[in-house]
Amino acid sequence: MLRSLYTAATGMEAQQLKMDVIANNLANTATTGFKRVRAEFQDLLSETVVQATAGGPQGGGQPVPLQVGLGVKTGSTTRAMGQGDMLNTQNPLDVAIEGNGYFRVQMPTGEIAFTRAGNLRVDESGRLVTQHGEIIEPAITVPPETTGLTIKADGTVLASLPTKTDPTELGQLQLTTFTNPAALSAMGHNLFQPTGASGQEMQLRPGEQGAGTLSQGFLESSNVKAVEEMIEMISTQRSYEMNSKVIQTADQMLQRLTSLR
Amino acid sequence: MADGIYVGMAAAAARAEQLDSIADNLANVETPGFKASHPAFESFLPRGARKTSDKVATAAVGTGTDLSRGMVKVTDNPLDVVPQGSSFMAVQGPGGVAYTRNGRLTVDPNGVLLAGGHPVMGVSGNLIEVPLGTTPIINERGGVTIAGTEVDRLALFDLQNDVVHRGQSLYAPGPSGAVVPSEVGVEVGQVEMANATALDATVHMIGAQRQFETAMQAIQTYRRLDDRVVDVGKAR
Repeated sequence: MLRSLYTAATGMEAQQLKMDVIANNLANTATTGFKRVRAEFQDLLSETVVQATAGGPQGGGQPVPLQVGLGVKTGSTTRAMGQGDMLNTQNPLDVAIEGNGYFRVQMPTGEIAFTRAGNLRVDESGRLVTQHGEIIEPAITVPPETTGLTIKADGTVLASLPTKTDPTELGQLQLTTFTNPAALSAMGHNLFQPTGASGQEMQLRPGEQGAGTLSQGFLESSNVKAVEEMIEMISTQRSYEMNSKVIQTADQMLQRLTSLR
Repeated sequence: MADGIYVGMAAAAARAEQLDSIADNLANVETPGFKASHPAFESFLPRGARKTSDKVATAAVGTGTDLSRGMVKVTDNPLDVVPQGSSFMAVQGPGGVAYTRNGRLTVDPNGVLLAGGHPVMGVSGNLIEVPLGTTPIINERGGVTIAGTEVDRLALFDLQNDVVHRGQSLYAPGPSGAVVPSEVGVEVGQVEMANATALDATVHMIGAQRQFETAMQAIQTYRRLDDRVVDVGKAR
C-alpha cells in the first residue's frame, strides 16, 4: 500500500491535537494566570530505502540516500510563559506577579502545588488562601479586626489594626522559580505540580533573582491572544484539509490501480 | 507479451514514491526546522535489454533535501532562535552530533540547554550548561548569557553537498557532505517553520496523480494489445 496514506493520517492526527490545544487556549482567554499552550511537532523517522555510500576513486557510489519520511507527531505541549495582561481590580487581596515566580500553596491533601493566580481570599480562620481554598505557603493569618491590608512589591504583608497607628507586619509572601517551568504539569484550578523535568525549585523573596515583584490590586489575566489563536486555527484547519487531500489522492490512485483488471 | 507494460509499471511505482514524499512534506508543514525532501528519479534500461531498446524505465534513486530557509514565525519567546542565513545549530543527537534549525530552546532539569529536545553544542566544544534556577538570554551573536555574562556561544555550521535526514528535524552530512563552521548570528524571538509550502506540495501532488493515471492508461493499452494478440491466435 502507499505509505502516503499513513503519512497523511499522522498529519491529520497532529492537526487534530493542535486544534484541541487551541480550543483550550481560547476557552481560557479570561482565566486568571492561565498560560497559553502550544503544540510542538516533530517529524518522524525517515525510512531509508537506499543507503548513501561513498564512491571509489573512479566515482560511483550513492552520494545521496533515498529516504522517505513517514510523517509527523506531536512532540510536546509547551506553556508559553510570557506575562499576561495586568487587570486593575482595586481589590486589596488581588496580587499579580510581574516576573517568573509562582506562589507555593498547600492543597487539602497536604500536597504542595504552585499557582500564578493571585486572586487571594481570607478563609474562616483568617488564613490567606487561593480562590479554590488552597493555603498559601508560608501561611499568613490576617487578624479579624484588620481594617486595611497592604501587600508590598517585595511580598511584605502589612495590616492596619484599629489599636495601632503603625501597620503591623503579618508575614512575607514568597515566590518559587523553576529551572524549567515549561515542564510543570497542569492540574486544573490554575494549579501546577512540579515534575522530574521541572528542575530545582528556588524559594525566593519577590524581587530577587527574576522571581518577579508583586502588584497589589491587580490580577494577571491569561496571556492568550485571541487573534493569534484564530490565525493558528485557520492554518490548522487548512493543514488538516491538505492532509485529507493527500489521502483522497492516494485513494484515487489505488482506485485507478484496482480498475486495471 | 509486450514488455512496455513494465515501463508503465515502473512509472506508476515512481509516482507512488513521489506521493509518499509529498505526503511527508505536507504532514510536516508546521514542524519547526523541517526541510522538504524531493525524490530524484533516474531513467534506466531494464536488465538484459538490448542497447538500442526504446523501453526506458524510471526509478527513484535518491532524495534531495531542500536546505532553503522556511517561513519564520514571530513568537516573542526569548528562547526561540533562528540562525541567520541557512546555518544549522550543532546538537547531540541520538546517534552522535547532528545539525538542526529547530531553534526552540529549553533548559533541562540539570541546566543543560536543549534545542528541539537535544543538547546544544557550544563553540567551546562542550554542551552549554546554565546554573540551576536561571534562565539564559540569547544575544544576536548567538551568545548564551546569564545575568549579562556570556557563558558560551551556540555553535553554528553550514551543511554543504549532500545531507542525510535523521528525523526530528535533525540532519547530518552524507558521505560526500561537509560541515563548515559559520560565523553568523541568530535572530531571537522567532522560530523557523518547515520550508515545504502547501502550494508547492499540492501542485506536485496533482502532477504525480495525473502522471500515475497516464502510466495506468499505458498499462491498460498494453493489455489491450496483448488481448488482440490472443484474438489473432484464436482466429487461426
